[in-house]
Amino acid sequence: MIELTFREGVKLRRSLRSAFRSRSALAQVVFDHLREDLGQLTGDDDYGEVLIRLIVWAEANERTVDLIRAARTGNPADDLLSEFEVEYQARRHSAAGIPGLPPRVLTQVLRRDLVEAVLRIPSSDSYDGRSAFLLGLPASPSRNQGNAQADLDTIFYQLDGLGRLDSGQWPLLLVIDNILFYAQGYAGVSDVIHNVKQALEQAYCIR
Amino acid sequence: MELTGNERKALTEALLKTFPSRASLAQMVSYQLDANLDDIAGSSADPYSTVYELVWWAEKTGNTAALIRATQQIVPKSAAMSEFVDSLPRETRRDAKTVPPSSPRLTASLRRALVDSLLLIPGIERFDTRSALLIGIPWQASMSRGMSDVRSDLEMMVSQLSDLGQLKSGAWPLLILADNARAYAMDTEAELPLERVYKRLLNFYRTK
Repeated sequence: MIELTFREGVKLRRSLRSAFRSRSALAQVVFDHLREDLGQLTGDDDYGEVLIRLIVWAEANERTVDLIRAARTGNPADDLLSEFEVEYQARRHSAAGIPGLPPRVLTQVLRRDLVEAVLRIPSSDSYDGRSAFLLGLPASPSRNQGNAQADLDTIFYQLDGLGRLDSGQWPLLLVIDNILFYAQGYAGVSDVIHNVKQALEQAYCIR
Repeated sequence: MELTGNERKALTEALLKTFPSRASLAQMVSYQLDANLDDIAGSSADPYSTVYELVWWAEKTGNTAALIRATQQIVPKSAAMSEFVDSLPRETRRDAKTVPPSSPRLTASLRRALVDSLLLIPGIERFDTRSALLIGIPWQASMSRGMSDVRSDLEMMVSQLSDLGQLKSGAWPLLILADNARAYAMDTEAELPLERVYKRLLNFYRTK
């Protein structure tokens, strides 16, 4: 089933190339998130040809959504890929029978509440402290090493909309669970984070 | 690898200190051990009993060394896990550290050549450029990074990736990093040195 338009195919190829500069990086993401061997799917041609063959394979096997989801999980920080995802999602929003990409559920208000609460935890002051919140994530969002507020805001924004991990966890909830560990003993902070977590669980239909 | 009662308790506590949440532990178990934490430990909300069940499961299935090694690979800065491993008798400790896949140590000259050539990449002084070299590598999000200067950050990245050992895909993390770096080095003065280092790395890992 060919489902992407020609223009979308070209844009997806450019987005993948932007998100994964090397064939090795793409191969690892394809293995981790699609459970496939890129070499077997595409052969050993030059990278441009590999990208075309990967997209053709995804289309033929009805795994285009999986490919986009895998790429987003593998590099949540890439703007071109993120833009492609939004356009792709919008065009298919009303199309019946096409499996959708994960929803974005973190509203601006929830994100602000979450960032403000997390900033009150002392370990969020340092880059390494904030990195500890990300334990268990397969890939890193883009980071701001010098500004804790901007760093947290970017992290939460980029994790929103990523699909479930192999373990069944939602990346945003995984990070919030990690943060709750460090929030123990800080009055008021845990409550706010728990409230955000509950709202997200409802949005993900976990509750 | 068999543990005594005290060692089992110590391992449980080390895991509890290393993984801040059930979610992060579940992700490690899924990715590194190809298992499902819910199947192993049920859905108990009690962290201690969850981890205790995991430790029991690892012993029953011969996965204790793999569990310890996976934890050390993913969270190399975990002081609790390092202390636990150091507290084991020498024979047991060797088992926990060296059961394959082992992590071959880079030679000092190869490590230096890699870092020196990475330093030639345009924009490498920027944190996000250095971070981009890690794309595709699992667990990069929780890596320790050197904040003081560019070289120390690259040294830390190389050291941790070297310790990660071979990935389940068969790839070596440092080769992914070097391949990413080659893309950023194209048509710059870094291109040739990186190409040479990449070939040396390929040869190094080919013999492992």
